[in-house]
Amino acid sequence: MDRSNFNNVLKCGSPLRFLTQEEMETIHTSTLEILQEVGSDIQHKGAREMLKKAGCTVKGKRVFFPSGLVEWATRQAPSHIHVYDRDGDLAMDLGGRNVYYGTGSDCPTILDVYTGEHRTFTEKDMEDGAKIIDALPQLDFLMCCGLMYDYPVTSYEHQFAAMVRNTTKPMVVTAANRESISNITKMAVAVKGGSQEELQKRPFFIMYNEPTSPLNHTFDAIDKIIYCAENQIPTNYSPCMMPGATGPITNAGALIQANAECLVGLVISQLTRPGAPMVFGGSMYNMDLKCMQPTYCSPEAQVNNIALAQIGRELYKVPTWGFTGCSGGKIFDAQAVNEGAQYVFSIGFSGTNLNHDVGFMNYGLTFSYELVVAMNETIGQMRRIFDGVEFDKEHLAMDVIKRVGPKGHYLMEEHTLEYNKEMWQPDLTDRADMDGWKAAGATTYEQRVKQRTIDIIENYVPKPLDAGVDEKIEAILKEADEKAAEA
Amino acid sequence: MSKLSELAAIVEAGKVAEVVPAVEAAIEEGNAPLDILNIGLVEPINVLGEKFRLGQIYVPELLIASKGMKMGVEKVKPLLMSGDVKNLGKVIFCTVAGDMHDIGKNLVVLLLESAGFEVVDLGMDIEPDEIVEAVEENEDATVVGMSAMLTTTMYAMKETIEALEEAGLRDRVKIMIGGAPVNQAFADQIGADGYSTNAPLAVELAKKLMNIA
Repeated sequence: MDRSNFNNVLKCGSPLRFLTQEEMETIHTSTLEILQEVGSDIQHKGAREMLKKAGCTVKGKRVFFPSGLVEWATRQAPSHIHVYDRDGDLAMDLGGRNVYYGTGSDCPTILDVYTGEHRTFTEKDMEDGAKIIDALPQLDFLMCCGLMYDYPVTSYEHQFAAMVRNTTKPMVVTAANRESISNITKMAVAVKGGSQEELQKRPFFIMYNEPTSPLNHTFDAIDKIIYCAENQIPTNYSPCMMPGATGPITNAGALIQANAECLVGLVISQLTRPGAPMVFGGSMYNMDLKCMQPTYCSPEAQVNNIALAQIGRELYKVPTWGFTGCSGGKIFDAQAVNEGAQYVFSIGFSGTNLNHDVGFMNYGLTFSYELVVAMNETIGQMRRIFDGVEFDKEHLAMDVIKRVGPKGHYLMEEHTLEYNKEMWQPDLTDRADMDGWKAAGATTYEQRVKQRTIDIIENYVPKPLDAGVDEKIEAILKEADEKAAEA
Repeated sequence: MSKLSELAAIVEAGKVAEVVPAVEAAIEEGNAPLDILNIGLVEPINVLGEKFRLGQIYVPELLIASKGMKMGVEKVKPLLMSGDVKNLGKVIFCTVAGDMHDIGKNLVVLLLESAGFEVVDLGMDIEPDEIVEAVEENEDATVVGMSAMLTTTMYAMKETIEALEEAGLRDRVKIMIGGAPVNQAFADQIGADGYSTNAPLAVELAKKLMNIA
């Protein structure tokens, strides 16, 4: 996949940042105070034993972390994670201010593009989603979009199979537990010609993982961190805090608690295997205390997300995790595009690395492929803004300014012809004059997005897997299904 | 024959500096001058015009290729029989009095020229009596095109039409107008014969006003 035409980092000026160095230190030292004094609940016996050996105080399930251990962990983790596509080409360099966009995961329902109804998400929807991400140039990675109800126990395995069969792009995967992540890893190894080493050298998926706010860490979450560290699989550990309900409602307080939750994951990962790749950050979307729904993309949520990522990038020097392109709206409308686009721009200008949840609506309960297609257009615009102002001789254009002079025009200049190629070109955005717009059917943006979405679903053909891999994946799925049936 | 298609490819690609040598090569190869004109020079512009209409290329591509075509036509012209060169007719164009915005007018002029019209381009900030004078001088001109960018200058179009009426020349020419502030209703109001919203449609309008299919 040729990615050379995309600029993934804001070249000019300063990134969007909310915290000064002193403010980051304040969050950091407050976090250490919480971890040492209040501690966290770790529902994993093996992890508690490992933490005790490393100097933590353990009382029942509660673990108290000495500051030195936490700071040691932040120094072990790598500052960059290189993620590849299915073909083995480098696709994402997570670190610094590189910005990548992808979908969200595990919505129970989908907004049906044909009928406009909210309905249960199916395996066919997962295949469609993978094709859509594969087809859209500005979407960098795929998360599973919805939760497949076709397979009650092994849905994550089948999800991964549907994804890897329909896109070459890198993936962020979800899994129930150690069993399902190891089945997914087996399939990924099959894609890499049966070589675990090859998968470690060129990982093409990241394992998604999250703590349970406030300050609680489930057995499966910790077990998946340990599995990933043991197997050199990149993972993240993203709080999904709802300030006002599962965290303090103020931004600074939410940041302290979320930072504490992230750092517990980091400590366990680095104790398991120093240098294990981990993406840092998460979101704190305040609960709307009238309707009792998480706001997901509220102004406060964006500030929190961006500020925690800033701490990751600038204080701990680790790759960062973000939210983007999502909406609380129920249908694909102006609210969906407005909220989605706001978050695409804010997270992009902040330089947060791995940004997921494009396509989320209804607070993550409903997935919309139309929103993904619309955000592809928005991300393209934003990446062009990233380019800022070029200052080489040709871009300064002194020769052509002098040649054309007063009262002339630039329409016939070679310079115009050459550099017009750099202008952002709309795909779905209308720029025609009134008559041209009418002649093209007088369509709304929503109508054009819908048409494009349907076109991809019905006509796009992704690159197939290498010969023989499909059968291996099928065999792994069969084994997993049989095992699930026995249990 | 091969030199003809090479010429057409050069014109279509907008390689302006290579057009004249390619015309010379086509003559050397023994192609009929009329074939050089139609197949080597005009046809690639038609191809680009269609691509432009479909939104596949931009205005500069079309204009730069047209510039190349015109240079080629100059080279092959002396070899052609009189009447071989297609001339769709003569039109007079300007940006009206008080208005210094001529990019739209220039665009229309360039497209008209590449479509085969002979254009008398008066320039910008042109007073009504200057237009009257131009119509008097160019007896074979059948269309006057006026452009304005400002709401404050668009009424100069009305004054120009009145000046042509006073001079007894109004019936000799069709009048077409264009520019950001004007529309079909304004054209009707001031007694113009046609209005176009953009440059490619202006070419179609000129053809329509001159009864060219």
